[in-house]
Amino acid sequence: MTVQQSAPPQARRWRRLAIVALVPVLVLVGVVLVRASGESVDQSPHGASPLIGHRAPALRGRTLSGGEYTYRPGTVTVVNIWASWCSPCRSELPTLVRLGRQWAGHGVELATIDTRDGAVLASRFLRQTGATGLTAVRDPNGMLAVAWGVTGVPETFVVDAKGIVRAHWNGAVDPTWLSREVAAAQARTTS
Amino acid sequence: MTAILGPFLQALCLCSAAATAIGGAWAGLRRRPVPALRWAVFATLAGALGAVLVIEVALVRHDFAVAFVADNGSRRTGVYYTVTSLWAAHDGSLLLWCLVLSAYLAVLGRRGARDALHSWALAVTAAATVFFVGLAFFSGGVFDRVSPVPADGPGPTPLLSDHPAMGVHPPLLYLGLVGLVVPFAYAVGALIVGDTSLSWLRAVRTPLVVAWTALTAGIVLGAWWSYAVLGWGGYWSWDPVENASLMPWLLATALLHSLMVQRRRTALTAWNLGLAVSAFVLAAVGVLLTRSGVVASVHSFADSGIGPVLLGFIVAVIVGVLALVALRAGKIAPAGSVGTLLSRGAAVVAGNVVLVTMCVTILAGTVLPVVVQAFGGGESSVGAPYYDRLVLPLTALLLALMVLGPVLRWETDDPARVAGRVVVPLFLGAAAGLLTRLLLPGHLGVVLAVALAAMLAASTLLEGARAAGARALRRRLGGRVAHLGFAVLAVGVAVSSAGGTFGEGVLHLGASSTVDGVRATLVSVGSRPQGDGERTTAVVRLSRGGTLHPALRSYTARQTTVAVPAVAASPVGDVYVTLLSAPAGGRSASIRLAVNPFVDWVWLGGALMTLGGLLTLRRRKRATGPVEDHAGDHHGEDRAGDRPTIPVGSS
Amino acid sequence: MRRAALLVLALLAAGLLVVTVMVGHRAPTDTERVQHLSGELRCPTCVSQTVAGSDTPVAEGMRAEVTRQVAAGRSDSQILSWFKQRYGESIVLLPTRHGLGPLLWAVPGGALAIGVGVILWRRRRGAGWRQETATEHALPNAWLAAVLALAVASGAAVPVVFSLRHHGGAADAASAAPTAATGAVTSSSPSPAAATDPVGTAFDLLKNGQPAAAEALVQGLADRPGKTGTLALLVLGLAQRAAQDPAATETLRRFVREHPNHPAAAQVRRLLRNS
Repeated sequence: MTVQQSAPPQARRWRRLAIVALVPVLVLVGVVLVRASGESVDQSPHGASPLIGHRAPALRGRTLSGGEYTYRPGTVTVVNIWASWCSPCRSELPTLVRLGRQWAGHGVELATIDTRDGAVLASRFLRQTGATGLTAVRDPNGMLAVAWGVTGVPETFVVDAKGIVRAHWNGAVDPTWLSREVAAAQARTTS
Repeated sequence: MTAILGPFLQALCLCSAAATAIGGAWAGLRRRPVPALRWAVFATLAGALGAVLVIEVALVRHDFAVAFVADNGSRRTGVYYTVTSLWAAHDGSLLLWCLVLSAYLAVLGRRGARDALHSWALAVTAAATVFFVGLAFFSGGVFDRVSPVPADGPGPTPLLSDHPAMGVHPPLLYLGLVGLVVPFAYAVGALIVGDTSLSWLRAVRTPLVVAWTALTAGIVLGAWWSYAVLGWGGYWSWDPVENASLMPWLLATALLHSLMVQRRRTALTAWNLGLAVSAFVLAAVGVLLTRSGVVASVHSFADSGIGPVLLGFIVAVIVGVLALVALRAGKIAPAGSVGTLLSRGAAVVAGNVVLVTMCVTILAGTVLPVVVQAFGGGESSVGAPYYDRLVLPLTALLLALMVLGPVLRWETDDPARVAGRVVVPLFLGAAAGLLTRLLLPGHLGVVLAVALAAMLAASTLLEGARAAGARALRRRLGGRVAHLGFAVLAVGVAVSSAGGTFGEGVLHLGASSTVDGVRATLVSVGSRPQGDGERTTAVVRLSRGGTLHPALRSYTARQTTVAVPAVAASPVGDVYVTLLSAPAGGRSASIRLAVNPFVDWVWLGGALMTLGGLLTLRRRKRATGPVEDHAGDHHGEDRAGDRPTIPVGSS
Repeated sequence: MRRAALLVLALLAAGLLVVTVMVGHRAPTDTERVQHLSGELRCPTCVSQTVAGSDTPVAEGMRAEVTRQVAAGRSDSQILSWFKQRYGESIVLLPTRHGLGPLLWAVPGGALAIGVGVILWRRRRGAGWRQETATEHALPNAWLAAVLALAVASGAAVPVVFSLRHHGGAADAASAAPTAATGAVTSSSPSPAAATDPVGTAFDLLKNGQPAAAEALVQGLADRPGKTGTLALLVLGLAQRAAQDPAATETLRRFVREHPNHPAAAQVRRLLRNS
């Protein structure tokens, strides 16, 4: 039994459905195309740490030189996370040490975290880069780094005198940027 | 030589596919069979096969003048992994994809263009072939000449040249994903011709089962491979690439079942058309996700070159089909009744809704973060917890429907009768749930899953036993085995995800670590050179008997180290040991020890599902011999009114 | 009789279910808590992996921290918000109330609701007439051609739009990209490392987004014989490429020409082919 098919209401319904689906699909694709293709991705190495504007995490422990260090708010502090197996740190540490000597007379402290490292390797690394005398808190199982929200090495934080994190840099730090941020943090203290 | 022969064969494939597409369309318009078209189809297959052979020969002969070999070949790699290195890189695996597609085209068109529907299906499949072969031809660069010729190459990625599954998993996966083009092509053909009745259905059944079976096997094999190789003892991480193969599988499963309803009740016609198209579209979306870098970032997507083209293909397909539906709305057969609320048809529809919702969930989780990123939004935070929370309840619902479905009658059913059939499995399921609860306290969701899965297994076995006579049993054997397999898989997934524990730490020689009652003692650690790097092996003795040899393999050329875990399998649970690091000196090693209960049930369940699919094929081929070839179909004949001669299931 | 037996079975099953739910309820152990929480945290340096399933140092550190906090008795939400404070909202894998979260829950829920709704709505409308159509009215050729044209046009539009707009975008990105040096080259006094290992230092500078500085360091070294020259040439080519220096292609080609067997040659070749 063959039935000639003409079901206007059903046909209209499907047609409407198809067009109703077609138009938004085209519009959506068009919008996504235009937005997605024109977007230029920001590749800034500047950090966007969620800690900025909040209290600095705890930083205490044994240092490589054998003493104890506990961070306490009071002066502007630059916190740097490094490791001996990190090659950018090799070029960064001497810069930091030099800046640290410059700051020492101006009440700016430099504290570092040596994360997931062996004491012997780390000490040798410091000797090789001419960075002996650096305050380096040991962090063998990486928990201190995690407390600072660190994802790789090196990273640098600038903390003001009240203990609030003010700036974050991901990667080997640019000394110009660092000097600027330290100055800004100092200004905040005196204001 | 290779640089000329390879592209020539690709061009041959491309032109033959284009000829097939045009010829098929012409045959469809003229409504005349064109047997000669089979030569075009065979030429397409010859071209694709030839191109693959040419590159394989170049790989095996270490012909480093060929770009692909220079980038992926190596004298140090064995023959097996040299052959499989073709699909270890994207440009090579595209050639494999084209080969599988050409093979499907060849099988479809082996007798040329037959009737109008078949001709259009052939044309659409050929058009898809044209697209993919064109993509390979114009963007591949596989056969380019390299000068100067290097003496050796870096070899395939270490993770892909360490395990024999490399030779089986990608081809199986492609066999499954590519096969979904056939139902799609027939759906489009049915819309063009204006005949969405059983003829479309009959032609689609076998290719769909083939594709589904291959896809099931491919996905489970991929999970097993990840488990054996990745070192963290998991087998599914809701990775975009994994999701890319799961989504078409869900839709193919839905289609498989709803076709049954269409055959029996002449209902769900439009739904099936939509599913057939969507399954293929999602397979293409899967290709987009894996090859275009879109999930890494929108930027890498735009950079990839191939990404926008694939997206364009998907857009073209969606727009084309929607336009076609808009024009042909009147020709879609009106829906018959699926049945009452308590009928098998309704259960299948409900199952379809669940499967499609699962697919939409996974699609949302995979794609929405990218879309949001394209609009300048932030990072994504979609991972296992999201998917688990949504997919697991849906799976529980599905298990319950799978119990009801086979029990219910087609037209309508009586609650009392259904209850009678369901009570014993319910009891057994509850007992299994209680047992699980006692052994695995604190995981109510898992307990529910196990209870339902046990109920499904019991119900399937009982219904199977109830089928009197060998013939009656054979009729639905494939489906029953597949359902049983799913139940086993569900138990494996549920228990292994809930009960696994692990511990990691540094062990010195002779020291042991205990996890979940299993003690592992480090006996020795040693290194020896292997390939271009070295292999560091730890010998670990287990308290429950047996010794494992987890290792770390370093590859100097690729500058990477890969962990090779060791597994001691047993039906109740695996002991999984990974060597994390071994400092020089051979006195200690950092080991992760994990106990994964019931993990092997996942592989067993997958194997059963694949077996079920194969059994369905066998039965189908025997029963549909004369019907499969519908060259003799007369379009005036109404076959739906008769009781179908193909036994789809008795009530 | 049979009915009675079945009824008893059903009651027993129900009883079992009740017992199952009630019995064996205990608080998760510490290990289970650590595992559960690790599964809810995203590994920040991996692609789609949880902290539980990753071997990277960061993930190991995070697991150690989770273990410490669980042992200290903090609650799940306290631990998760501790991590959120330091890594941002996206470190927790379950989408939250803000941003993408609601959409990710709404879409599946919506799909399910639509599915159920359509079923119920169709039931209410009543079943269609159960007849099969076997019409033969093929689509008029003109319409078919139109559909094909529309599909091909919309499909082709995608890559075309991308290639047009993206090249424009790429140029902007290049000029805007903060070459972090912003002219302020390396540290004013050459560090010991730069003197003893210029190529290594240059490589580090390159990795940290200072291609101009890297290029300056290795400029004269590319012609040296031996390993230094080889690596310097490679770094020079890569630095030039990163700085969008047109000399990059020729430098990289020279590297591939002179050192075809170098481990990095294959990658450089692929880089040249794709650009």
